[in-house]
Amino acid sequence: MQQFLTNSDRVKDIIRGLSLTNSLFVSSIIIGEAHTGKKTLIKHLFPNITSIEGKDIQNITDIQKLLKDIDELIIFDFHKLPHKDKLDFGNKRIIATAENSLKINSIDEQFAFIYHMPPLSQRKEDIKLYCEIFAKEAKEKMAYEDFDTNNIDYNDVDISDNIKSLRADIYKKVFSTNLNKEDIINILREYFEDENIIQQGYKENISIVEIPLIEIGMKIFNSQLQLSKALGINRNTLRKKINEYSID
Amino acid sequence: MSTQSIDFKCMIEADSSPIVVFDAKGHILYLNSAAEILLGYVDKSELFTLATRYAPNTFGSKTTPVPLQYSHLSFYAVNVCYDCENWISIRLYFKPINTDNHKLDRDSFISTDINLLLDVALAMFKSEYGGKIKLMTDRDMPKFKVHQNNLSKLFRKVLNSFINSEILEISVAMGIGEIIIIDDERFQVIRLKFISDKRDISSDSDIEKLCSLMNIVPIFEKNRLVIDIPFIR
Repeated sequence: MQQFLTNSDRVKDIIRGLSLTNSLFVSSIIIGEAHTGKKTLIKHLFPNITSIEGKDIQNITDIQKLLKDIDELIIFDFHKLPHKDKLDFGNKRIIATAENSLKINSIDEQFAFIYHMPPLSQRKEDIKLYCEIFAKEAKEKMAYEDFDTNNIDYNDVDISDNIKSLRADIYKKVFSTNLNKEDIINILREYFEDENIIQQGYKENISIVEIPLIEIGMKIFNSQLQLSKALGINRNTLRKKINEYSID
Repeated sequence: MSTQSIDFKCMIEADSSPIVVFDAKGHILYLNSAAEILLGYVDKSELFTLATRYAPNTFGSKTTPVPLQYSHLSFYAVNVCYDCENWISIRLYFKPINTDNHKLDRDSFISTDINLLLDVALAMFKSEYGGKIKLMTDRDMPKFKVHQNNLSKLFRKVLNSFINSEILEISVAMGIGEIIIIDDERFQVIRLKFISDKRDISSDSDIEKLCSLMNIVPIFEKNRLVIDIPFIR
């Protein structure tokens, strides 16, 4: 059974409400941004109920036919159903998920309970929890041992696409922490395989190394003089590159 | 057996019609339980005025059709009785609620624990509501038949009309002495009261439409909403 973990009180309220409907023939829908865990939550709470995907349905009569034989149904991506406003639930238990693009007034008539799944930006208490889960996942899948979740700045993770982007960001962080020089050179070798990239010229391509080198160098040394000495380059050359790359 | 040994007072006490006995000056000598409830909505002086207005000319009893409305309590007649100058009684007859909007569709009704439906609606409402909620209900309320989905929608809309209030009191109880008539069949009433300091009335027409689908009677007041649900077994 898929697990669903959360520290968010708002999400716990949704779980509580949906769990209470277990013995009722009512219709419920969870609306929210993509990748906020709506589907995972429903699968966790109702693992044995028949489910369908809105995008797979050509005609709502297919659903009406299905409902003649079963008392409960999960409809994922309800917003992708054709003519969904014509769907009659009767006395069946219907649990649906939909994205925010679905207009509230169109489901107000059909659904008894309308829950709003908050995006990750509104449940910061879950960001740390998920970072730890994804870091552990990444370490296990990539067989890496060296990654300390205490090094993650939870205010600086990518939650632009909620759980999807957060997972990708943590995987990248775990991966990059475990890269050595040889790994980076191999990555660049793959990157430069594309002739179009080579054609961009030496100056453009060398910036891939110079920009992060100078940015981090300035953070560490806090002075152009110190950094130029460490890098073994003329201070004027360094200043020119800082201006060229608009590095603060 | 002599009728002198019969305790008529216990019959009057159990009567679902409010009965009040006044002395000549309008002080209450006796009132039954139903009258106690009524006096929560009307002053005793008004009832005494009614008694004197509709009293028979001589000793005896007289029933007069009089439409009366006190909050959500509706009456259609009064009976006034006295047999001396020392007391006068008034009895009010409840007006049966007639919902002939929709035929009773028992096939779509499912035996339901109303407290469970209300708990689910409240669980959702509480996640958005910033005020205090006080719930008074009888957890042993027997199940009754209702369209669960429609009643849940109704609860959601009713609760949402109080979203901007600071306090919300909800009570659930069997209505005393009141009935709803549907298709010439009489049903007891389950009464839900929602009392608050603020109410949004913009959804009242939606609430009314949903109520009519289920033969439910809504009573709208400024910061209060009462819904009478037919107790269908």
